Amino acid sequence: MRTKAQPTIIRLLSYITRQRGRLVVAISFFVLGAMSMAFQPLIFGLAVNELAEGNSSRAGTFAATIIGIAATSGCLSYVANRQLAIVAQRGMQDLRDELATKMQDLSLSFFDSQSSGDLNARVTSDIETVNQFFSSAVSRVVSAGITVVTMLIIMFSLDVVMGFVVLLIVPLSFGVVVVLGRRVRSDFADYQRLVGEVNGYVEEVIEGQRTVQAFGNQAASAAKVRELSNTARQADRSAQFISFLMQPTNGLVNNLDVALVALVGGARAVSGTISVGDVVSFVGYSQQFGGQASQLSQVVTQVLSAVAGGNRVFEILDHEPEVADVSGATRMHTANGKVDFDQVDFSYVPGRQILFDNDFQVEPGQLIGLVGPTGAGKSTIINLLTRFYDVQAGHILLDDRNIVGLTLADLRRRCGVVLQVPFLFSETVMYNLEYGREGATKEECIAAAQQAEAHSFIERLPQGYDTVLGGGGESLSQGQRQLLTIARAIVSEPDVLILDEATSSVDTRTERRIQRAFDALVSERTSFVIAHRLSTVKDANAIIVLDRGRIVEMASHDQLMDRRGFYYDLFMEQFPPGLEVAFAVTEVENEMASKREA
Amino acid sequence: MSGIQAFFSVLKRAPLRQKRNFLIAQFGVVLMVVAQLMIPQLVKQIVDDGVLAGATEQIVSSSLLMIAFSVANLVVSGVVAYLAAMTATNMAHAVRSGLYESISKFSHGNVDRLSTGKLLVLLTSDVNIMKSSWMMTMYMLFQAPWMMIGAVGLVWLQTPQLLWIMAAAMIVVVAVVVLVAPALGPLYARVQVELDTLNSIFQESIGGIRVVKAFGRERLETDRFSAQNQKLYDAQLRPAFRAATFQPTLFGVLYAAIGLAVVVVGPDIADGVATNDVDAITPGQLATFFNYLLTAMVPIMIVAFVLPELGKFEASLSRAIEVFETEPDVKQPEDPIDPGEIKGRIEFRNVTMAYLDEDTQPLERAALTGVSLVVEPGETVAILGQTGSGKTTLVSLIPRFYDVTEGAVLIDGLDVRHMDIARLRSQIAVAEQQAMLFAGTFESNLRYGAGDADFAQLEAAAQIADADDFIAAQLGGYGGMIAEQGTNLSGGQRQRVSLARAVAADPRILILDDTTSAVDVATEARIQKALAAKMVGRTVLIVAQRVSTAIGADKIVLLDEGTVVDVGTHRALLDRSPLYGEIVTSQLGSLDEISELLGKS
Repeated sequence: MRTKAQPTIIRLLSYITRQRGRLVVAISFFVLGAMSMAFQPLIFGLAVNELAEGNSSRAGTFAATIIGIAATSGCLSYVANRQLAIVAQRGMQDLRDELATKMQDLSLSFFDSQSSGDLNARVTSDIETVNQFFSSAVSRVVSAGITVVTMLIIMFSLDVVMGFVVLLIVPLSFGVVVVLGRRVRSDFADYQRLVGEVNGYVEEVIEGQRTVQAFGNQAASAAKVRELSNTARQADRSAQFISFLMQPTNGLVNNLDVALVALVGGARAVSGTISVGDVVSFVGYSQQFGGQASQLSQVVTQVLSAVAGGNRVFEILDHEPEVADVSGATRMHTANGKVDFDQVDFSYVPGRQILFDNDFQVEPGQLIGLVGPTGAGKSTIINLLTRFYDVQAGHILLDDRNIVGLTLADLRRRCGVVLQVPFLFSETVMYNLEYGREGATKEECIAAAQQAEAHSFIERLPQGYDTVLGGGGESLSQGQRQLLTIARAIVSEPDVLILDEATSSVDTRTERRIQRAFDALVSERTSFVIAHRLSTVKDANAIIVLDRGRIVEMASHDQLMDRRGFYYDLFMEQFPPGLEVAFAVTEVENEMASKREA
Repeated sequence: MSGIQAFFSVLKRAPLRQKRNFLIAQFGVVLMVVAQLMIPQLVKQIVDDGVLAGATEQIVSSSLLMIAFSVANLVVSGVVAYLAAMTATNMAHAVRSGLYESISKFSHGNVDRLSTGKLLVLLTSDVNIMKSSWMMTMYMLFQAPWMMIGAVGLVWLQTPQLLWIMAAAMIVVVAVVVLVAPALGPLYARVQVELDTLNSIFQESIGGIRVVKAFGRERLETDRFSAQNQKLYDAQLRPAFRAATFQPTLFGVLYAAIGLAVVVVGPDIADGVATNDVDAITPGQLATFFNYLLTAMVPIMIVAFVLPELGKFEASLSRAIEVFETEPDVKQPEDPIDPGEIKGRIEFRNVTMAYLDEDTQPLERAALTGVSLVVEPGETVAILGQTGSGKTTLVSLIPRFYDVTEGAVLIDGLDVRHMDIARLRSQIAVAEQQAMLFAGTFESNLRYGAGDADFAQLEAAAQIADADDFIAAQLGGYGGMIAEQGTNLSGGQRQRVSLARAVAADPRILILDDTTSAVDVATEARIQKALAAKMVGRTVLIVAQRVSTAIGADKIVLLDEGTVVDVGTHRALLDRSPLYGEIVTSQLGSLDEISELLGKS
């Protein structure tokens, strides 16, 4: 296991040091290439020196050496660049894969606590800072670092004093980067925040465009976008401006150093301490050195933002899922479907309890209706049974085994859920059906679609079962989406079936048509059905009536009606006042009509 | 080159001030190039006339001059950078707000056909791309030609015997750039496409996390992600490998040219020194040649670097233009008639309506066919029918969310297509099934269509929608916060807030599109009662799934496959319509059952 105390930078680097072989090749080729390039000014200086002495006999040799070194170094750095690109991209691939895998392991409570915008930022822009670090900072550090070291060795072996004069550039250019860099970073941070606000608002009003239009608020939202965008523009301008100042400022600092080298070097050449050719070399070095030093200091900025981004990514990787397999979790290959809730308490957020002391037993094969006013806790019961969340007190048993002791995979495989909001993936219809169970055949999927009364409309889609559902099925009606999710649940062949308002947007005629499928589904297995339309659950073996987190009644429809309690009131409220009269009148009329016929 | 055309086409449309800024910046760019060319010249002076001649004063004076040029360069660069940053960010701002303004005018049909995801990418990353490539073009690209001319000119002036070496070197580098660079643009675009796909897979697996977990398909999701991750990896290596040739080639050519120069002019230099020939080429000039060579390579690399950026600029711009040029399906008439206060008589006169396809042609299968229907002022009318029978389409025609394909919709006898859209819509309020709320307080959401209504009116509307209790129980009450898209509320709560918002708008015509589907029946009954009291004299249309929602209406319209099959009161329909009878019994149980129950009570 990794330790959390490990510095982020080391942890980031661990993603590229995994590619040890390639990394060694890349770095050693870089070293060789950069080292040989560092000799170029020296050789050029020697050549100029000899020429200045009126000796051109070795000009050809010098030229050949210069060209030879350039060619060798070019080949080396080409190979190194390629290897480094592979190393960097493999590292990124690993990091992304780890993150995606982790996301799938995390519990729903994690996603409840995160804003989707923040999560998106972590997996897009924060990851991108790491990408920048891997793919450019690493090679820059290596090549600039090597060049700098090699040049330092050569310079100091030529002349120590001149070496130090050249080195003056380091604090100077570092100062520039620090001062301007800090300003740029804070401006960029401002801009990121402000443009984030613009984007957040724009996203909202585009998603809600129909509502904007319906209430005639186009001009108001356009004005708000303009205003937010204008504020972002000001921060943006400053950030862009200063980041473009970096280069000419560094140029100035560099030229100061060149002048200084020339002055000191000139003086030392006059006094005869070093040769004129060496001074020429030093002028060349100081020109190059400035470039390398500012490269290195820019890398520092890049590293800092990669560390910040990496930290936010690692926060996710280090998050422990709240609901997970316990050690020694046991398998469950099939279930009879006996469900026990034993004094279950639950709250999503501490202090706001949702379920109080829920206690009930369900025998295998029973159909259970869950009813109650909005917010009574119906969906929560289902969230707990499938371990989307874990109970705070009490136990839930499946076939007399505590569900916490089962593997999550098996538990959820035994339960088939049709959720209130019909979520589909932006893939083909078939993909969405096969989603229900690993290894489901196409025939099984089509049969399931027929059972769910979805087959005929699927056939009418442009490519039938191979039609890709853009935007998660945007083009389908809400009812059609619900039918697909029901078919998906049929494919999953669950032992416990859970329908959370699964047919709220399906019209009653279609609902009746899929009723047979339902009857078949429901007869073989334990089923929980949440419904507002009480007719949907009337035939249940038992109806659990929830109110504000407590089970107030549990019995069959007839018993509950006889009891004239909470359920009775709920049921009777379906019939608006006046209905009674309407029926009475109709019946009288019918009677009269039949009498007339008689 | 079309990237540059795109750049200038934007500049042409820019305000005069921005054009002026661009011209000033271009003048500055020339000065920058002059300064950058002068500096190697001065380094040469320092070496030749100072170091080699042993003249310290010359070193000092040349150094000072060089520093002066550096300072001047910094100042001019600063001005250019400022102007570039200003025009670039102004453009980004103008494009961003302009794009949204266009989008805000889109009608429902346009929104149906466009993916909101694409629009968001356009407003965020495309705008960003346009900005940064604009900035780079303005600051860097136009330095290139001047720098090249300057470098070549100076070599020609000082060491004409080396000009051919320079020309050869430049030709080789240009050839490499021409071979490698154009391919890079599409390769980088490919990377972006793969990255976008990866992100959307990721977002989908997060959005559908409940489904993933419910079916235990975590592995499938990670596999799907990994497969795309591999594609991204492959895509990313392709441009990286190509770009890896740039730097080695550049330096290779540079040093080859230097080596060549040493061989070619070396003997002359040596001779010149030996014979003290003042006209001969000096060692310092050789050093300067190296610098000019470097200077001449820089613009080529700039062009290689900026051109793909300009390619992206062009691509983003064309996407933006597409949105700018999209005509809203529903347009304000040329001579809009102010309908005044609407009384609320709605007539559908032989209406046929087909949605439009991608090419804005009506689809073959019409959503409504030959619908004729009259709603009198003050009536409450329920519309019942199967999924896909055209209920929502029917009511969407009244506020002109869509326009009819044939026939006409009239309010108080006037075709809605001749009315002023804003005046029409301000008197109609719609509460939709998928209630869309905005981030903000409850109060700001309730006020969304109510303009300057006072707080008591908002509260009254919330009471009618049975939302008052739970809003008051929120932390902060009416000042409590609604999260983006109302994710902190339940489906039923969202619907009730949306209903309250519609009521608060105090409309002459209220349209409830299955607004209470997620609300339990008891609450729904309360809401309907309160609504009936409030909406006296106003026209109300209720799209319903449940019979209980429709039962109290003055009349019920039965829709089937886009046609009106029957209109009548609950009683009348119960008597004569088998379809209606079927719906009622399927939801409420058979007549016998109900009578039995009612008898018991």
